[in-house]
Amino acid sequence: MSITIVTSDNEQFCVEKLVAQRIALIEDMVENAGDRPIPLPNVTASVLRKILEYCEHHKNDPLPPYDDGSRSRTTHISEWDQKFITVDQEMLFEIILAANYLEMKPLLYVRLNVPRVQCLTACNAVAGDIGCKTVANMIKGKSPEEIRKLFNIVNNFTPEEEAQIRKEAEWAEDR
Amino acid sequence: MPALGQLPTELLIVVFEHLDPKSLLVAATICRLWNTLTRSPNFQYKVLLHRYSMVDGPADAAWPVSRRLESLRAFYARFSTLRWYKSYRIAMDPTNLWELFSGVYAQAAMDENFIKFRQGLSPTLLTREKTWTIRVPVDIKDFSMDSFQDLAVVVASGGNRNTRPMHHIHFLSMADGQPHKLAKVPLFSEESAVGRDAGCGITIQNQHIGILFMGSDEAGVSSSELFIWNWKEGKRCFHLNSEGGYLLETFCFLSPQHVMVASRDRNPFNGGPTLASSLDVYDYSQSSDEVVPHRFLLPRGMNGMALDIDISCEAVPELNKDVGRPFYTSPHQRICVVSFFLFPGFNTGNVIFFTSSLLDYMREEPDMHIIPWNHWGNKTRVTGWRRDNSVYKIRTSGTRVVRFVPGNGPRVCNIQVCDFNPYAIPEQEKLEHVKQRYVEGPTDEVLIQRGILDEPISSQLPYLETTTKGSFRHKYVMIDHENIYLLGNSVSQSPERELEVLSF
Repeated sequence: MSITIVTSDNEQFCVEKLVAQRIALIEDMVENAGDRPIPLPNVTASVLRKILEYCEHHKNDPLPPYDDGSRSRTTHISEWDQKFITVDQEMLFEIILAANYLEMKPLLYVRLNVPRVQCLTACNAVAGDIGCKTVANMIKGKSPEEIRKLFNIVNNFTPEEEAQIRKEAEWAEDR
Repeated sequence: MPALGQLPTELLIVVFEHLDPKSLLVAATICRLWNTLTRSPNFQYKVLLHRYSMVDGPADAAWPVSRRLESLRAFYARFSTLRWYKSYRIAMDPTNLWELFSGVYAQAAMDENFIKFRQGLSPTLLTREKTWTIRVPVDIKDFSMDSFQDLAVVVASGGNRNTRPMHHIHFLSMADGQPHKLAKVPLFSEESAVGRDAGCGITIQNQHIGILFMGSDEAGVSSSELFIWNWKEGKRCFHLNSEGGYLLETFCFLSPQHVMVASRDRNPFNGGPTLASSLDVYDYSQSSDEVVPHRFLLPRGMNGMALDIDISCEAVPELNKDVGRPFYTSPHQRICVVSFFLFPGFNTGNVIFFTSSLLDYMREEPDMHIIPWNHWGNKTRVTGWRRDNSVYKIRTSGTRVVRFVPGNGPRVCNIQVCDFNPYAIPEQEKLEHVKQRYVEGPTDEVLIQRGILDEPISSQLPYLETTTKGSFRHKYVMIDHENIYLLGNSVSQSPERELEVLSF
C-alpha cells in the first residue's frame, strides 16, 4: 500500500506506507486524509526526497526504546548516515527544519501514546542526532570569527560586553 | 537563502547540546542570542564540570541541574580560598584504627567487635551529621570502607601455632554490619606467610580490594604479601610476595587494571651496593604468575641507607545511582604522589605521577618524560617536585594535593592545598594568597642523579597553591573531597586523641 504526498512546490510523491510510517506527522495525517494526497506545505520536493531516502534506508531498523529525556545521546554516526548528511549548508538547514516540522505536531500526542512516540525516531534522528550534530561538528574547533561567517551572524555585542565575555572565557584558551 | 544562523532557537539548543565544553565557551562569544542560550544552567553546569575536572552524578530528583550548578560553584569557592565551611574538634575514643572516605569518618579498636561511623555535615552533599555503630562478627585487625558501595571490609586473623597463619576478609554492609549483598562470598580466607602480627594496608577501588600484609614469617624474618580480590565476583586476581630481597612497602591502584607497589630492601642496614628501592607497576588483569612489572628504581638513600616510601593516590569512586551525589571527581583525573624519605636527615623527595586528562592542558614539550607503557594510558607523565625538607605529609584528592609545610614555630605546620587544575579558580575570584606556581624539573639533585627518571625532565607543570594562615600541630592527616581530618597527638598520658575537622 502506498500514500501520496504533495510538497510545497507541488510535486507528488508516492510513498510505501511502511516508509511513511517512519514520519510521525504523515502517519498522523493519513488517518484523516483517507485517499486524498497529503499536503506538506512546509517541505520542498528536494528536501522530502532526502528525508524519504533516510526513511527508506532505516525502514527496517528496530525502533529504539522510548526516550525518557535522559540525554544519553550516542556520539556515533553510521557511515551511511554520514554520507547522507554530507550536503551543502542550505540543504542541511532545510533537512533539520523539515525533520523538526515533521515530528512537531505528533509530539503533542507523545505523552498519551507511547508506541506512536517510537515512530518519531526517524525524524528525531535526522533533526536531532544527525543534522544538529553535524552543525555542532561544524562549530567545533573554529574561531568566533569563522563561526560568525559560517552562520552569517552579526556580532552584536557592545565593546564593553565583548571585553567582559572574553575575560570569562580566558581560562579555556590554552585548552 | 536560509543560513544556519536562522535556525530556530529550540534547534540551536539541540545543536549546543552536542557541543563539548570548550566549544560552548566559544559559542557564548558569537552574539547576544548565543550568549544568552549558553548561559542556561544546563550548559553552564557542563562547562564548570569540565573546568573543575568533575563528572556529573546520577540523575536524582533532589538534584536538578540549577542546584548542582550552585553547589559546584560554592564548593570550589570554598576550596580555592581555604575558607572552611566548618571547623570543629572531636574527642577520639582510645582507638587505633581510623578511616575517612567521602565525608564519612570511621574508627575502631583493634581486637574489638564494633566500628563507629560519623558522617559529617556536608553543604555539597546535603548530608546531615549522624553517627552509628555496627557490630562485626570478628575481632577486628584492620578495616576499610567505601561509602559509595555501602562496603565495610574487615580483616581478622586466625590459625594457631600448628597451622600457617590465616587472614580472613569480611565484606559487610556499612549500614548494619550484615554480610554485603553484592559480595559473591561474604568472606575470603587466605593462608599467608605473614604471621598474625601483620599490619595491613587496605585499599578499595570499586570491585577490587587490595590488602598488603606486613609483618614477619614463622622464622621471624620480615615479610609482606599483597592480595587483590574482586569482591563482587568472589575471586582472587593478584598475589605478590616479598621476594628477591625486596619487601613490599605500600601500594595504590593507578587504574582499573594497574597497581603500583613500592618495595625496598629487606635489610636496609646491610649497606651493600645493591641497596635500593623500587616502584613497580603491575597489570593485575593478567595472570599474576606471568605478569612482568614496569620497574622504576628509586634513588638510593644517603650512605647506603634505604628509603622510606609513601604513596598517596585517591581511590576513584564509581558512579553509583544509589548514592545521591551531584558530582564526582572525574575518574580520569589521577594524581599519584610518591614521597621518599631519605635517611639520615629526613630529606624528602616527591615524584608526581599524573595519569590524567589534565595533561591535555599542558603544553606538549618534546623532552617531557613519557612513561613507555601505552597500555597504561597515553596521558601518563612523571615529574619530580622540588625537594623540600619539611614536606613530609602529602595526601591527594581529585586534582588536588594537600601537604604540610613548615609553620611559624617548632613542630607546627601550615596546610597547603595545591590544585593541579590551574583553571579551577575563576579569574575574578583569584585572591592575593592564591599563587600560581610551577613544578619544575630538573631541580632535584636526588631525583636526577640517582633517579627514578632515566631522562631528565624540563617541563613545567602549573598549579595553584594556597596556604593556611594558621598553623597546626598534628601527627596524622586524612583528606577527602571536602574535608581535612587532622589527628592530634595523645594528650599527656591519656590514650585519647583529638581530631580536628576542617570542611571546605
